[in-house]
Amino acid sequence: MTTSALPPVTTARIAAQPMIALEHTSRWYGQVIGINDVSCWIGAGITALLGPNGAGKSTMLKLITGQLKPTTGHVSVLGLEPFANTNVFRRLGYCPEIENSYDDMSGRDFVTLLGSMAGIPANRLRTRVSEVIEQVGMTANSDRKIGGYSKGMRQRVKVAQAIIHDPDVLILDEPFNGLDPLGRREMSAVLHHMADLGKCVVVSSHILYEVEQMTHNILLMNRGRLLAQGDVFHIRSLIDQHPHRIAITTTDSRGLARRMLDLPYVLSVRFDPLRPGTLEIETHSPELFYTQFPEIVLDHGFVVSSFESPDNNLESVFRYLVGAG
Amino acid sequence: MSEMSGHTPPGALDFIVAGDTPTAGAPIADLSYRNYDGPLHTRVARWWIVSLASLRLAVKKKGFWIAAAISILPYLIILLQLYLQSGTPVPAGANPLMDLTVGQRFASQFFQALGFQMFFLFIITLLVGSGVIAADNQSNALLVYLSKPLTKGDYLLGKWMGVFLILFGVAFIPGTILYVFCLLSYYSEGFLKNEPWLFARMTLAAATPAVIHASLITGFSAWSKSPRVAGALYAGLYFIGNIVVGATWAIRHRGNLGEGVLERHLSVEGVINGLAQNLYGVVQKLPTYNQRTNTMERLSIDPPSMMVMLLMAAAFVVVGVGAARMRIRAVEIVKG
Repeated sequence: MTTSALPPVTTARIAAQPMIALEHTSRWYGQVIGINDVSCWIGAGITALLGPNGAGKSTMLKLITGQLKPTTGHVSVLGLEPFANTNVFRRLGYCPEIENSYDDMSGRDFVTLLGSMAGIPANRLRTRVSEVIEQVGMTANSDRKIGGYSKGMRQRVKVAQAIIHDPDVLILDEPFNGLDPLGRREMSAVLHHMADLGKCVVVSSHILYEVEQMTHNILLMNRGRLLAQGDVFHIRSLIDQHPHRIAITTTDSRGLARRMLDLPYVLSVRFDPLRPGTLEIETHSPELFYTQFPEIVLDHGFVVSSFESPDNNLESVFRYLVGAG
Repeated sequence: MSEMSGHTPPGALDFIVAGDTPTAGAPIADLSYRNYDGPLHTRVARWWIVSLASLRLAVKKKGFWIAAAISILPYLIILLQLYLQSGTPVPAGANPLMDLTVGQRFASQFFQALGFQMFFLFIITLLVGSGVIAADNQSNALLVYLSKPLTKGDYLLGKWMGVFLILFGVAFIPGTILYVFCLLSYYSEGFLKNEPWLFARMTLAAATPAVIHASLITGFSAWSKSPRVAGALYAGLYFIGNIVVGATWAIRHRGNLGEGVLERHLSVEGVINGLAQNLYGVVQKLPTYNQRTNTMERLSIDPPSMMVMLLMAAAFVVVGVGAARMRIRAVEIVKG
C-alpha cells in the first residue's frame, strides 16, 4: 500500500491552467455522432453543461470521466489523459444520472464501499463516510436499505460517494433530479463551497432555473456541437439575431413610448395588452439603452414601477442558440 | 449549532429540518462541505475491495449457508464411516467400501467426497456467482465503480476472486477437517508415509471446481443484466452439457463404463471430475456383474487423459474470463 505521490491542487495552481480541456474532440458511435469537434476548457468554479436531449452532454461527461475514449482529438483532466487513468480517477468525483442502485445495501455501506475504492484508508473511512453522509443530509436514513429510498435520497447518496475523497474535479449529471427545493438549496450550497475552494464543478442539467441560480458560466451544446461557452449574459449580448427585449411599467406609457421611438438604437415599441401601463421595447444595444434610460426618466419625470429584461436569461439564450426561439 | 459548525463556510446552511425530508428526526445537521485531508492509498491489491464486497454479499444469503452446510455432509459421512471402521478393522480385500491399495486408500475417500459435493458446489455457484456482475449491470453500478481508481482488471479479478474464494472455502475446509482426522487416526498406519502428497492434492482438487465455476459464471454474469438470467444460462450449460455428453457416450458405448472414459468427461462437471481424479491419482473400482461367470467383479476405471482435461479446463477459464473482460465497461455503447 503506498500513499499518493500526486501533489495537492492549490487554488493558485488551478487558476493558472484549465482543469479540463477538450481539443477538437469527437466521439462517434458507429454512424451516430456523440460530440463533434468540440474544443473548450473548464477551470475552477461551477460550470453548467446545458443542451437538449441528444445534444451530447452525457457523451462529453463520459469522455471527461474517462469512461469513453475520444474517436479523434484530445481530452485532458488535470493535465492527464482521463481514459481508464486511475491517477485521474483518484482526483475526480462522478455522480452519474443512473436511477438504479444497490437496493439491498444501506446508503452507508454503499458510500463506504466506494470510499474504500477511492483509496481512503480503513482507519479514516468510517469518520469520512459519516462526514459526507451528514453533508448531504442523510445521517438519519443512512442505515436504511437503498431500496426504500426516495429518488432524492438516492441522489444524495450518489453525491456523497462522489465527494467522499474530496476530489479536485467533480462531475454531476443531473444532480437536482428528484430533489425537493430544500434539497436543491442544500446541494447547491455544497457545490458552491467546493467551487469556492478552487475545485472544478461541472453540472449537467436541464433545469435551467436551477442552473441560473447556481452559476452564470455555461457550456451550451446542441447536436453534438458546442454552441457557446462563457458567461450567460455575455453570450446573450453577442446574440444580435434576437434583439433584447426590455419591459417597462410606468404611469405614462404613451409618453415614454414616444421618447423611446426617438432613440436610434430602439428598434420597436409595443404595448403589452395583458399588462396595462407596460411597454416592451426591442434594442440591439442594451448597454447603451441601460446607460441612457435613467437620464431620460429623470429629465421627463416618468414614474417607473418596474423594469425587466424578459429575455436576458439562460432560458432565452438556450432557446435562441438551439434554434427553438 | 453542531460540533462541526466551526467548519461552516460563509453562506453554508445549518438547518433544523422537519417534515419528510431525509434528515427528519435529526434536529441539527451540518451540511457544510468538509475537506478530506487524509491520505489516499494506491492499493496494490485494489481488487481485494471488490472481492470483499462480493464475499460480504454472499455470506448474507441464507441459501448460501444452507447449501454450504449440505455440501459438507459427504465429508462428514466419510469421516463417520472411517471412524466406525477404525473401531472394527477388516482384513485387506474384504472391505467392499474401501480400496485398501497403498496410495488409493485415503485418496479415493477424498475423491468420493468431492464427487458427492460437486452438485452442491454448482448450486452455490448459482447462488453467489450469478449476480456477481449481472447485479452491477442491472443497477448500473459499473458506471460508478469504474470512475473510482480501479481498473477493469482489478474489477474483474475482484469479482472472480470473490466467487473463487467462496467455492474454494466450501470445498477446502471440510477436506482439511477430514485430512486432520485421517492424520490423527491413521498416522500409525502409515498415512503420511503412504500418501505424502494427499494434502496438496486435496488443495488442488478443491481449487479445481472453484476455478472452473468462478470463470464460467463470471462470464455468464457479465453478459447478463439479471442474475436470474445468468444463473439460468449457466445451469443450462451445465445440465445440457451433462445430458448431451452422457447420451452420446451411452449410445456410442452402450453404457459400458469401461469404455469411452474421455468422452464421458467432456462436460463442465466431467472436466472437474476428471481433473480431480487425476489430481488424486485414483483408479475407480466399480462393482459390476459379469453375466458370463455369474459373479460380481470390480471394474477398474482409469482417470481420463490429464492433458485433455487440463486443456478443456483452460478453455473454460479463458472463455469465461475473456467473455467477462470483453463485456465489462462502464458505458454501454450502442453503435448506430
